[in-house]
Amino acid sequence: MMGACFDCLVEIDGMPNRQACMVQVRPDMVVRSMSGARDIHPEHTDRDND
Amino acid sequence: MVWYQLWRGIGVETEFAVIGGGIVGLSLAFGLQRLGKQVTVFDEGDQAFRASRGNFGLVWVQGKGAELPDYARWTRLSASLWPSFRDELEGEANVRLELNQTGGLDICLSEGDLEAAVTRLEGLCAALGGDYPYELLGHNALKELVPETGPTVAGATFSPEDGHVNPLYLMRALHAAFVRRGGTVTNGSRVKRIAPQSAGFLIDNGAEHRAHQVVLAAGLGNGELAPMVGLDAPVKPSRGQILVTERVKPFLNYATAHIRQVGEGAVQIGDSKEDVGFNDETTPNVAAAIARRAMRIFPILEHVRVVRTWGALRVMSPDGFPIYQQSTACPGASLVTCHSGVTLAAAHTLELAPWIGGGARPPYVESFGVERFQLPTSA
Ligand SMILES: Cc1cc2nc3c(=O)[nH]c(=O)nc-3n(C[C@H](O)[C@H](O)[C@H](O)COP(=O)(O)OP(=O)(O)OC[C@H]3O[C@@H](n4cnc5c(N)ncnc54)[C@H](O)[C@@H]3O)c2cc1C
Repeated sequence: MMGACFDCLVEIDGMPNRQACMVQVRPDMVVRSMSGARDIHPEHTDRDND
Repeated sequence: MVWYQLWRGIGVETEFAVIGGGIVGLSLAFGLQRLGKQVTVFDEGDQAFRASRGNFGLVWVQGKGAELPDYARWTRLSASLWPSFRDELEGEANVRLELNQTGGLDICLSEGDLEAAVTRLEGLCAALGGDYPYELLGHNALKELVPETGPTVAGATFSPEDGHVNPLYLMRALHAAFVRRGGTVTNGSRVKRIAPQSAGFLIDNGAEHRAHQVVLAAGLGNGELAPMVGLDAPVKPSRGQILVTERVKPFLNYATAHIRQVGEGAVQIGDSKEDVGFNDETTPNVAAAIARRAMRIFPILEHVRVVRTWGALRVMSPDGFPIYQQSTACPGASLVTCHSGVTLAAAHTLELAPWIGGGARPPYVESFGVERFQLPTSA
């Protein structure tokens, strides 16, 4: 049942809401935990506030 | 398994048997139980086609009933009852329904569609003696209300009476409130036979149960059951496919006819109307068309991922309006089926259930008898 529950969402290389369980780790990958739902507007998604 | 078989073997006796545990059946079961009746719901379970598990969740008034003003009146009555229905249900079930009735938009891509929508609403307004609130929003006015609106959208009509709700929480709450009041739901067995007795009915779902009165609320299953109690339920499936996106921060404050943002943030996008019989599969070409329309309405959705799609079957009568019928051949049996069982849930619990329980017929309901489909017999 991998990929079914959407409980492991993270931001990967600036792309929010990705399922951690479905993406293979690569060198230099930048992974951040999500805090709340992502913003729908792309200019707000790269979290320049942290 | 053992429990299941044990349970199958035991027949119960009940005052009211409601056949079908979807939104319609549970709304009525809860409505009857809250009047002090003793009610058992017989539901077929997961293998059945169940509109209540796959619908779009609108509590929608706008544009409905242009061909039958009593349907507009009945729908509006239900929408106006929804806040108190919600309060009662949330209180009893301790489940939040995410009801939001801040108004709804019917977003039109072309000028032609917008004109047609306005003509329809003007007609409704005239039929209802001028009491029918709506607004026409051109492109700029719509964009002011929803800045994400795309450049090729013509505009929208707005009704302050529209809204939306989480239909799965509605199901859960109805179930919980009904059971808390002492009602029983049995899942997993199809009712195969209903036999009128000298007093009451025999209900056969593998075990034989007895009921003083029976309410058919089995959605598409009504077609087969109705003739057993002297009724007729000419219902047919109409498939709708729905897409759901990842969760995003709230951006859409209004329900729209095809796109709504649910409480948890996912954007739900619907829905097709397909005449494909008893088939609730999803198809890529329909999903793509739904997604394309959504991206024209709100181009920003292009960046949002779809995480789920599903298909579900609407329960449609020949004219799309409800069928509410008490059997004259078999007194004590009645039939309740409709499209828009979410919208009508409040009226079903608070107005229709009392009628089925023996009380006065609520307003407008006389327009929804099954005899409207029967061809006049030639002399
Ligand atoms: C894609 C889609 C979008 C929709 N959008 C909306 C919307 O936005 N707003 C709105 O108000 N409505 C909407 N609807 C309509 C709404 O979902 C239905 O009106 C409502 O769910 C019907 O409920 P029901 O209980 O009659 O039928 P169902 O949910 O189909 O339930 C029937 C139940 O009867 C049971 N059953 C069937 N046969 C038997 C049998 N022989 N014995 C025992 N049990 C049996 C089944 O197990 C099932 O649980 C939509 C529907 C679809 C498909």
